[in-house]
Amino acid sequence: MALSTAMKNAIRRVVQILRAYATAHGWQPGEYQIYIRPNEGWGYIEVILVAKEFPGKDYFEQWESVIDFLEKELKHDRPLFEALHLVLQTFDQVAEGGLYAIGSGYEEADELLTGRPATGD
Amino acid sequence: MDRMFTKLGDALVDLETAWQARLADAEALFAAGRNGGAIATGLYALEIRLKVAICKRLDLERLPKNFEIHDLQALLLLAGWSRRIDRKSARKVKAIWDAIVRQSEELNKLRYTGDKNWTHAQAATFLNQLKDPPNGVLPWLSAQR
Repeated sequence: MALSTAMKNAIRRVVQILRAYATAHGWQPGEYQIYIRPNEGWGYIEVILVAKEFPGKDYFEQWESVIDFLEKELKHDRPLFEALHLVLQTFDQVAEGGLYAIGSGYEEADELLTGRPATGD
Repeated sequence: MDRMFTKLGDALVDLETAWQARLADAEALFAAGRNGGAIATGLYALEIRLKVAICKRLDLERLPKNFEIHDLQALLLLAGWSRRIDRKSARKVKAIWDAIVRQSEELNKLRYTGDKNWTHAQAATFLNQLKDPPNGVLPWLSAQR
């Protein structure tokens, strides 16, 4: 997928923020995965954050924990924040498949940004 | 009006009845245990509901052919509500919306693979996200002006 420099920079920024979120919650590399599906034509970026579990008692609290972090970090870049679609999934859900399968339109963040396959470590 | 031109795009009046019919179909399929069909048909209902919103926003009696697309986020943008759903007051709807947009990309799989790939629980969650107030996407869309 040939992405514009602006889109790559936007994705890189979002991924950095999500990694900071992961670090803040004590997650090690390999304990979470970030999948991205950008749509340059319509100007949005879909993000799936996969982890073993998320802080919060229900899906909305968990989602809000991440989206609030993104909003705070992107407070000076509202258009980028508004371009994001965030979905949280556990590794168990991904393994369940069906609606929770990671579709072929998504790419692991490292792979998307570097063109190299993710190593998972 | 030219006969050919009248064939361009679906009429708003038809779209209005179609989205409600597809939603009823989704519920019937769910009740019959047809999980994949229920999810796919529910996604059709949402897509058509957004096209109704676009026609109303743009004061059109027919949906332009160029708007006959299936990208839910693009349709929300064309309806003029893509920023509204990002407001703090709509946070719970946005969480659901993002999940549904992501699920809509599985529509091709829903068309071409067997029903065993989608569980009853997944279909139940999806239909709740779609239609249950107060944070279901369809009730939220209906509340927008």
